[in-house]
Amino acid sequence: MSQDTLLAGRTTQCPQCGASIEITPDAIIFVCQYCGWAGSPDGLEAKGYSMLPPLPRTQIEEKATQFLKSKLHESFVQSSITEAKYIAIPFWRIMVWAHTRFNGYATRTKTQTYYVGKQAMTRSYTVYVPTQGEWTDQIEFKTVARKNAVFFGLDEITAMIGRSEAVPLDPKVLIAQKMQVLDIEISVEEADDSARNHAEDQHLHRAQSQTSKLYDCHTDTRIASGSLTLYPVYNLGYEFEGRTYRMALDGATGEVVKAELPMTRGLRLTYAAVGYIALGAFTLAAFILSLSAQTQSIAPFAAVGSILAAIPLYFATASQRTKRKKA
Amino acid sequence: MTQINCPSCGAPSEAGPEDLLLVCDHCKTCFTTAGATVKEHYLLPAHYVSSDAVERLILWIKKQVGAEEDLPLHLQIDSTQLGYYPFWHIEIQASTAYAGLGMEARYFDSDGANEFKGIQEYTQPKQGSIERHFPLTFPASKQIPAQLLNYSFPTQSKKYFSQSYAKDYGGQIYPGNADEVTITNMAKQEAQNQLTSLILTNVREVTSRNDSIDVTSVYYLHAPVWSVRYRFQSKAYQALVDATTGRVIQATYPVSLEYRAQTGAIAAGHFVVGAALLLLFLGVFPSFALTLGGGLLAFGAVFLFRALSLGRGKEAEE
Repeated sequence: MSQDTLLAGRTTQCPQCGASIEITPDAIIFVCQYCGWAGSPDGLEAKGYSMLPPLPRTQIEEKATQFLKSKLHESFVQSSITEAKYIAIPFWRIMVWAHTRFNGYATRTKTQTYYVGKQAMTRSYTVYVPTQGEWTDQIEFKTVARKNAVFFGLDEITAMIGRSEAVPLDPKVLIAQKMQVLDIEISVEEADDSARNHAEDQHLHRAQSQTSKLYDCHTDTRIASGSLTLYPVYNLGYEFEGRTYRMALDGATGEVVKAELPMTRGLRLTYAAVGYIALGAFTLAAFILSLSAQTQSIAPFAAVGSILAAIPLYFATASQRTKRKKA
Repeated sequence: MTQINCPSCGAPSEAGPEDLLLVCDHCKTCFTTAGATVKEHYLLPAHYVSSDAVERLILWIKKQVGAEEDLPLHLQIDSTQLGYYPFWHIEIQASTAYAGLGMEARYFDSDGANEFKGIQEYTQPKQGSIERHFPLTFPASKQIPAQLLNYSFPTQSKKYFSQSYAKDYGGQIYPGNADEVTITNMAKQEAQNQLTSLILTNVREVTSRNDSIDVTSVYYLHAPVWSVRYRFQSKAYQALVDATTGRVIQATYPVSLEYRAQTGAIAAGHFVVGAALLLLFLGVFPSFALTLGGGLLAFGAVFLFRALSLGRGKEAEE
C-alpha cells in the first residue's frame, strides 16, 4: 500500500462523469480533473467564475529558459529545469466602496523670535490644528481563495490579478494543460468580510496618518463587485552550477514574477566594482565640496557616502539574489 | 504516565502529566483526557521522506556563502526524526455594538489660519458598531520548537488524520497540552481584545457593549517536520525541514575555515588601509581621509560580517 493511500482525504463524486474526486476538507468548490465540471460538493454547478487562459507548458519553459539565458549565461539549457508544477490558483477580487468620517487634531511646531535687550532669541511652541474630514473611495481587495495559502511568488501574482482581462471559466482548458486546479475554500461572503475589514483598516490608517490624536473615525462600507478568477502559475526549480533555485512565472503571460538567481562570479565582480567606483566618486565629490565648505559639514556627507558605497559590496558577498517583478 | 482508554474503541493510551489531547494508537481517534473526541483533526502529508529532507538540506547549504564545499562528501547523519506537531486553527466572526464616552476638543488662542495655541478636551457620549473576522492559529504543545511557533505551514494539502500514515514514516505524534475548550476561549478572548482596541480608537471609556463572538470553524492539525542532526569534522549541527514542502525552516551549517580566513584577511586589509588614510590625511585632506578612509572601514566591516558568519539561517520566505 502506498503512503498516500493510507491517508483519508475527503472524497466526493463528480455529478457529471461520476468519477470519485478527492477534495480538501475545506473545499466549497472543486473542479473535476477528468471532465472539467466545476461546482460544490453538493452538486451545484459553479457559474460566473473566470480564468486567465494558460499558455502551453512548453512555451512557458521556453520563456523561463530565455530569461535564465539572459540573467545567467547563454549556455543555460532547458534540461536544467529540474521540477515544474503548473497550478491554477483561485483568487477573489473584491471592490469595496468605503466612506469615512474622522475627527481629531494635528500638531505643528512653530518658532517665535523675541528680543532680550537687543539680542534676538527664538523659542519653539506647539500649535493644534483641528483636523476633520471625510472621503469616499473604491478599494480593491485581492486574496487567494484558500485557507493559509503560501507559495513562492504569491505577492507578485496577487499584484497581477485584475491587470489582464479574464475570460469565462472553461476548466477543460486547464485540464488540457495538466494543471493542478486548487479547490476553492473561501466563500464570497468570507471574502467580502475580509475586504470590508481591509478597507476599514486602510481608512483608519489614513485618518491616523493625518492626525496626532484621533477622536473618532467611522467607516461605512459597501461591496461594489466581486469576482473569482483562476490564475495560472508556473512554479519551477532549476539547477545552475550544482545548486538549485526556485522561480515563479505568470502562466497567462509567461513573465517571470519572482526568481531566485545565483550570484555568478561576474556579477559579484560587477557589484564590487560598483561599490569601489561609488566610493571613488563620493571621495571626489567630498574633495570638491571641501573647497567651499567647512570640514564639519563634510563629515555627514562622508559618513553617508561610505555607507551607500558599501551596499553594493554587501550584495556582492551574498548567497543569492531574488528578482521580483515590479508592481 | 497515566493510562487512559480511547472513548471510541476502548484501547489504552498513555498520557503525560500535561497532555490533554491524545491520539489513539488503534483507531486514530483524537480525544481529550476528559474523554471528548475531536472531530476536525487533520494532518499535513509528509511528502518528503528522510533522505529527501537531507537532500533538500544539503542543496540549501550548498547555496550558502562560505559553506564547506566538501560537506556532501563527509557529512555524517546522526539522526533524522520526524515529528508531527499539533496546532489549533480557529476562525472567529465577531461583532460589537458599543456606547461610551468619546473625546472632543475646544480650541482657543488662535495663532494663524486654523491653528490654536490652546486646547481643552472634553468627553461626550458616542456609540458605534464593529464587525470583524479573525483567523487565529495557536501552537497546541509545549514541545513545539520555538522556530515553529510563527512558521506558516501551507495547509493546501491537509488530510484527515491517519495514525497508520504517521507511524509508517516512523513519525512521533506530539500530544497536545491545550484542549479545544481552552483554545476556543483563548481565541474568543483574543478576538475580544482586538475588538476592544478598535473600540478605543473611537471612545475613551466604554460604558456598554454588546459583543457577539461566534466560532465559525475549528480544526486541530498535526504538521510534520524533520529534525536532522548531523556531524561534519566531528562538530555537531542541526536542522528543521518542513516535511510537506521540503523547505529548510532553520539550520546550522559548517562554514569553511578557508573562507573565513580569506574574507577575514580582506577585511583586515581594508581596515589597515582605511585606518592609515584616516591617521595620515585627516589633518591635511580631511574630506579625502573621511570619505575614502571611512568608506574602506565600512567595506572592511562588510567582509568581517561575512567572515564571522554564524553558519545559521533559514530558507527565504515564500
